[in-house]
Amino acid sequence: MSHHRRQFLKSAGCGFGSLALSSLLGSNASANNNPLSPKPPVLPGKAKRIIFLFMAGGPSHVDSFDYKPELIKRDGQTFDFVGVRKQTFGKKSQRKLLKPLWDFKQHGQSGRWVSSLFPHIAKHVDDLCFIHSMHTEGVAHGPSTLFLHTGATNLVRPSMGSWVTYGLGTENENLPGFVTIMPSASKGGPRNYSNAFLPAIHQGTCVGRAGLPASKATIRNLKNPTLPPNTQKEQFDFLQQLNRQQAQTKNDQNLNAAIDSFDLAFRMQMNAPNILDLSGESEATKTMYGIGEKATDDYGRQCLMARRLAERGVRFIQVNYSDESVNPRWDQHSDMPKHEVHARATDQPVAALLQDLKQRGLLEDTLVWWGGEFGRTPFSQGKDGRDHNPRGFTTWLAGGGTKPGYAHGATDEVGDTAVTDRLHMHDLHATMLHLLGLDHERLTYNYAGRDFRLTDVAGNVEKAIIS
Amino acid sequence: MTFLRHLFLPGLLLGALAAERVPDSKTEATRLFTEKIRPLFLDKCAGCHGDRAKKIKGELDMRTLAGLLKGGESGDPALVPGSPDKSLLYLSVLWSDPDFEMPPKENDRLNKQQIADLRRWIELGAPWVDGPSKIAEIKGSLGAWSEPDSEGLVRVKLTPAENDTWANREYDPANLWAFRSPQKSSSPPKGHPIDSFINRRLAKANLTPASRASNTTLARRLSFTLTGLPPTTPQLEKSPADLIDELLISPHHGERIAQQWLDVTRYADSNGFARDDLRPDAHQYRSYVIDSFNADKPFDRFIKEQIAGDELKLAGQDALSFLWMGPFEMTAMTSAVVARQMWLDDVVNSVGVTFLGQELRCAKCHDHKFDPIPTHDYYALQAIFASTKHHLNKGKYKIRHDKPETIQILKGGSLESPTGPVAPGLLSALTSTKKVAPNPTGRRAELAEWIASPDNSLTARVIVNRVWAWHFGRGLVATPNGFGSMGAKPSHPELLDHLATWFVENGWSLKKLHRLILTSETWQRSAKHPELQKIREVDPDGTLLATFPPRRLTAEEIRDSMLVASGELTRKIGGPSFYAEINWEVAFQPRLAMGKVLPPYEPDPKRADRNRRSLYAIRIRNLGHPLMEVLNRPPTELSCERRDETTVVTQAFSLFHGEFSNERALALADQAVKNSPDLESQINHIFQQTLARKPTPTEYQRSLSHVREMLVHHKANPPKKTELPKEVTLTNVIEKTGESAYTKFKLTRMANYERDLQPWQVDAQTRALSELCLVLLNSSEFLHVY
Repeated sequence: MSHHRRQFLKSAGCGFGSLALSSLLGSNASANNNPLSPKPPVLPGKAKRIIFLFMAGGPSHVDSFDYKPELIKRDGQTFDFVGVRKQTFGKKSQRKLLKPLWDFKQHGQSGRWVSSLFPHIAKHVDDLCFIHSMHTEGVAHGPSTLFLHTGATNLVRPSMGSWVTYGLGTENENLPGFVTIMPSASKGGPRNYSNAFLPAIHQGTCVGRAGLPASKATIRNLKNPTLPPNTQKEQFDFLQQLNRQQAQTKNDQNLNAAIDSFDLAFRMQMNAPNILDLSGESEATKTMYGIGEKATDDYGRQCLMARRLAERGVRFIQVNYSDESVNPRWDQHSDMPKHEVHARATDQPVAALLQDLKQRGLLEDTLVWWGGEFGRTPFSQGKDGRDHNPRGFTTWLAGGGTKPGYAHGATDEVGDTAVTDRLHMHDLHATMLHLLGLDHERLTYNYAGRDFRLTDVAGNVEKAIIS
Repeated sequence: MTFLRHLFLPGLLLGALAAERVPDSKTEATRLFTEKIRPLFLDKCAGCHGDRAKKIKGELDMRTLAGLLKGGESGDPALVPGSPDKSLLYLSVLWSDPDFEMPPKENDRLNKQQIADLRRWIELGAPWVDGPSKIAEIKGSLGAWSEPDSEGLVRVKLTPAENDTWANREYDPANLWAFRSPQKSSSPPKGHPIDSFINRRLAKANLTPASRASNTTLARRLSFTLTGLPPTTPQLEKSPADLIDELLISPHHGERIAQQWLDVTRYADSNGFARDDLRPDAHQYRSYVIDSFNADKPFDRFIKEQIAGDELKLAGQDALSFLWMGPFEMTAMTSAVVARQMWLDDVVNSVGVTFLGQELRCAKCHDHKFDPIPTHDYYALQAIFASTKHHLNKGKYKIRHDKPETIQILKGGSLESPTGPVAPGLLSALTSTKKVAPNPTGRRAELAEWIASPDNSLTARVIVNRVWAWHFGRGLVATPNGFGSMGAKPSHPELLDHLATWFVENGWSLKKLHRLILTSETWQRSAKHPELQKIREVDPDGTLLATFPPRRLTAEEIRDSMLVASGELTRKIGGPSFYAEINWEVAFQPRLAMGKVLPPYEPDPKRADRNRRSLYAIRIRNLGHPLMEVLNRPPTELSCERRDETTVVTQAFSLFHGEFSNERALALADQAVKNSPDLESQINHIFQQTLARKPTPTEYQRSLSHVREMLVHHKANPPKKTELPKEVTLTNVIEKTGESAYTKFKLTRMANYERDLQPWQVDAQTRALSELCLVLLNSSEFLHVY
């Protein structure tokens, strides 16, 4: 389907209206009119889907993947810093550089440096594409987290997952196209998976929420509170009989859409719980993901769910490592050693996901994206903390057509600011859309009198990280 | 600045007007002048030869053509049209004569292209676009428009634009339709004006309109469109004409239209953003809106009250709350200046969208890309609000007048880049000459009077289109908030103009307009049609209205209708917001605001209190209501012109499995058991309450077998009693120590919570019946208006 037609389908404001409804699943509408039916990408793109491993709070790049010998050498020395927060904006101050708390070693054929925080991920460096020169907008978690998800710090804009399903539809009509596993209610909360002005069908579907154990994570109201599936089948049949009767006498497309939606609901109700239910996975697989171990059980389950969803064609899967605290998980302003807790919780599950995707041949067309809303400063805050750093940080990608075993760009010698081949968050968004076969400048939606994009009026595709 | 104003203010459009219908070379020359030469003069020469405040150097005044022709102290003309080599102006820029080297600094010298442009312009006769006498020739209330040029394009006179290229660009008049006064149709309508215009188009398309819907169908349709509630049994028997009269005086009518209006104005009970503080007085605006619609307050007055009720001594604070309905940030993290600017941006756009169908936000950073709205207009509108402040006093917002702050045009919309003060003003595309008085206590009054004037080509069109969309599900202009060139074009322009004129002539009465629309044959048409296939081929979007376009009920209508079906709805009009039931898990989910854990959401303990109409349910911007949201209730940050009806699967989950519909189903089943002695009359009762009719024999048989089958299940599976928590513990990790902190909240309201009827309180028979209720509450027939 051309972008042209997609533009025709859309309408301004919250009024997608009956157009979408009738074209959704109506009898008159061909399958092509379903806004979620799969659409061929406009560019050749290797990736068919994205798994986003969201590290909320901002993991420290200088302690993990961005090796800075100079920082180690200059530990304790002063560093001239110009304030970026409101209270200290523009103020010059001297901070003390703080060397990484963990040792770095080279790994793999590619010889990429990884600290001892991530021993499992380190085994996969030859599959990873590091971007050491990330920079972004916002200084606080709220705005930066929104920017990461929507390309805007303080406006109501569609989330990247919504843009992707809008652009590509879904490969599995029995499942939602955009799933976010255990999202947090804070730091943007629902706005991080919101469709904003895109049609509601592109909203992210939540599986569980932050703060609850992953073993209990499911889609709200997915299960009937009282009836077992076979008894409820009878109820569905009865309802559909009534609805079909209505549709026959009224001959109305809306009514047909409603019938189809109940059919789909029933199919999804039968399918989704199975997909989210991990009991059928082998013990070896569960062990690989760290399921059953206290530290890794939650994120391990989440990552395994992600693989199962990816396998079944869900287009955008976000795996949140987040909670409901004032300070999100990786946000160590005063206690950097706590990074170890978070690394332990995520390292093995993420590595298992990479390995699992690879052995199933899914890494070819699945783009894995690991990162936080920003990084952390190379200098200390208080005794042993680090502050937010949107000026320079590391994100890595894997699979989906990215260059494996590659490192792109660099921060300065101590890791404070991206200096070489800088990549803005808009550029990352543009590049990931490109990998999916979408042109970020043409993936537009007309709302309130103008065409909107994920990348606003910015963003350049970085060809260097594409294989 | 003076030079700038001289060049820009009268010059600009007059230039555009002078350019109309001229030979090609003249067009080229004029364009060259406006796009290249004037900017060049501004950039390179104005500093010394064009600012009145400074002494003009060398006696050469380049502000006017006359000045150039006269020349400077040398006594020779600076410009000889047609002869660049005799024009000192041209010779000077060549730097060939050491006595005349202009601009004098090496760094400022013109490049080759600029010199070539200048030469070409002089060769072509050096047309100068100026001449104030032309203003008199601009006619009508349309602002200043040029006649269409050879390609049918027009130019529009506007206040200073960022640059000449923008100011002199041409518009397709078709894109500016909304800026023209409503036109009288060349062939006036016969009979009912709506039917007349609609049927003409249908006849042209060779389509036969559907026949009239049945009285019971119309009763349901009327009841929902005028009150948002299903009809009562006696109402089902009434003729449409009688029922329209009855419903228009129902107090529920104001509630229904208020719901539509609050979608546009973004009603909420909290500020949103990080702190999301409650606005305890917000409900007074809601009540004001309901009362206004019930009283059929003339719409022009309704506008004036909301924009300038204080200045015009028409209304109080309640109406004015409109001005700060949007989300508002007030935290220690945002500076007062930023917060103030956010409000100014919000209020200007909100006024534009709500009353004029113009998204003005686009003009915040640059002249509007597509519409004739320069950035200057945007900030001139902000200057209207420069003296309007509001402040929070004991949880109540008060409006007051302050010394007006200076409003500056912000380059790129950035507070760091002010480019100069701007006087209060209106949309220049519509008001070529009208100025707003500088009087700081009457600026909003002027704005309001201008918007609510019969001469404003946008206002009446925008509201009649909204009302049309409320009744037909789609506007004559499909984008009710966007009457600009990027919005939809009217499907029936003559009808829209007729309605706009009619509306003003009929005293801006919304109730008269409702009646006019609802008594039309067009609105009363059936959704059925024998030639449906043909209609879909010819008119796939249904804009020609051969049939009535059915719609799904809105989120609020669904919740309210379910409460009506179960006999639980509390019909109390107006007053403060109530705390509705919401999904328990969401209610007890920790909420953070600026580092603090907020207490959990607790619904009103009394059943009657929380079974009020959805319109009154508290809207806390950062706290979702899952059921309402899944049914496409719009968020409160953005103005909603039209409800999204997208069918998503999660709707089926929420309605089939969610607590709310299951509890209504159980309450209805209980009512059926209590009111009716046997299964047959119970089933009939349930059909009557949900679908307002008797079951067909097939439906009856199926219902009967369903209840029996469900009875088997429910007898074998007695429900387990569950308790609601009396307190909840919210966990929060303390950053400094890394320890988890547990905040316990006593759920004070839950102590006296009147629970809805629960499965373990009734017998298996009632539970089985409730399964039938659930099916009917989920049926298309219940969830749609057709």
